Amino acid sequence: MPRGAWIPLVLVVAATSCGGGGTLSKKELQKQAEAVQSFAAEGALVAQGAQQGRTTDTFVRVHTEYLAKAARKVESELGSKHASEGLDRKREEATKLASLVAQDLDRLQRDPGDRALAARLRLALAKNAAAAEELAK
Amino acid sequence: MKKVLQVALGILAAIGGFVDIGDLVFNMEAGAKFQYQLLWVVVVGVVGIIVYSEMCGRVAAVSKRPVFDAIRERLGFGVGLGALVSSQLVNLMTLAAEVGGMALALQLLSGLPYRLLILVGIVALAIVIWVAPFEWIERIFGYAGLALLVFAVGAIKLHPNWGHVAHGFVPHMNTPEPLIYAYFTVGLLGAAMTPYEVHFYSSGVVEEGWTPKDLGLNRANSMIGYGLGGFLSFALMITAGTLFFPQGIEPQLIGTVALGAQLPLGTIGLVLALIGILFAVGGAAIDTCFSGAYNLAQYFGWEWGKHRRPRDAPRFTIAWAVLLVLALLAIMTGIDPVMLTEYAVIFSVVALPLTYIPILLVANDTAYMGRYVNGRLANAFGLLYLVIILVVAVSAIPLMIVTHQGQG
Repeated sequence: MPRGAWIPLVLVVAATSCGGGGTLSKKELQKQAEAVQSFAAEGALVAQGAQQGRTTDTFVRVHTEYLAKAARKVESELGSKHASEGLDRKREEATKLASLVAQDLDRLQRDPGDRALAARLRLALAKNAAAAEELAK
Repeated sequence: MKKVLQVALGILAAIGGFVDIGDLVFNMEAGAKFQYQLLWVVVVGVVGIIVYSEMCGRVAAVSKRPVFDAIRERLGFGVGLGALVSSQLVNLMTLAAEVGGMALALQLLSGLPYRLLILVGIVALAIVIWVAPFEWIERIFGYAGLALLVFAVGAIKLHPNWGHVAHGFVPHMNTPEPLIYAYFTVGLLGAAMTPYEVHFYSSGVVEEGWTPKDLGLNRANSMIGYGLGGFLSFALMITAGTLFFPQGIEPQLIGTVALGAQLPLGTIGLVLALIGILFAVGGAAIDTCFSGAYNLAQYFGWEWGKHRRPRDAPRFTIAWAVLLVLALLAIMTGIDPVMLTEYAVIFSVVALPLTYIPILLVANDTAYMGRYVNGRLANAFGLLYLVIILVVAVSAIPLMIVTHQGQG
């Protein structure tokens, strides 16, 4: 490796390993809310496929498990941080939304072949996606 | 039919290079973030890789010397060693990520546990590499990877605004996040011109015993193979721009990529997408595994080649087997394959000049190339891309740090 090449490596590791605990900035909160919105919107699309019978149960089960895990990670990150007084209410709302999205995804994962359930979850996830989008503004 | 089968080397190199796990997600992310704005970058990347793969294929066909021979000779032992270490690091990261990607695709198809499927993937790769002749490896992975064309069908079925798509081929920037735009530009260029593609391609030319008589075939392989890889990149970006951009979905999972084919085409689209992903990612795993073994053997002057029996090239055989084991150990730690490959793409960008400068030098050396040296057009494009590569190499890591890997 060329001399000095370790410096950017160390910087990258340092930059990417930050997180967990501490105070949440407005921009960080916005990014987390956008992530929740993304998981919810994607979950709604997966649920749509399940509702219409245009996907496989295996895909729905495995993919929603990954999405739920990602939503739960955001929930835990939001829950482990503090925010300034003006932002704290938004942080709590985003945490709650992340939790709701993870729960809906869990339900879809457990019963991927239930079309009626998929239809209900699709609506719930779309609603939560809209709420998270609003929060990210 | 024979002609069709002869372009398999270019198709495997391109499918493995252009649409590996990192590119699948990177192209989708680019489309989801900037809709069609970055399509022009793919064109720049495709032309660049065609120019240099044609050049390194020609060098290999004429002189029987693949890229790493040229690197060691032209850059000297010390700098050559730097190139070897950085290439091997990137190869290993990419190989581990591809093995993880194979396991994820298999999991989405079968529902079996991820770690078990990592083992299945590694064993399958080892058997295929050990048993199948080089040309059959090219054909199996190259042509099965073409199932990814389902994304092109899906993109058409999504009825994008073709006027907006066409505008994406004209460089422009309409975003409040110019640094993230720059990060994706650099990443897409780096992904298109990853060094392991030319290492694999030039060694493949020697494996197949091409001679100056095959220079037309070399040109066809470069243009058709990489042109096809670029076409698949367009399809992925257009799919994401049409489907995910309006909904604010950030694709960071292999399942999200497959969803891009499922939504417009239903179950058949989903299954074809997952099969295409499995073979494209498997092809990339083979590209990187061979590339790592080729680089070591060529740098240290060992006997090498899949066309030789393992006992006739023992250190080459041990090299690819060790790379597979190291990749297995790395991915079994639980590291996210998508994140790993995105790092690999950015780090490989830094190593680009060490690969492409020697190719350009050797392609201009009459002692090697005789009457097959670069013409004016090849040199003009070669120099232009060298400038692009240098700019991209210098800016890649700062952009990755500043943009938090494109997340803002």
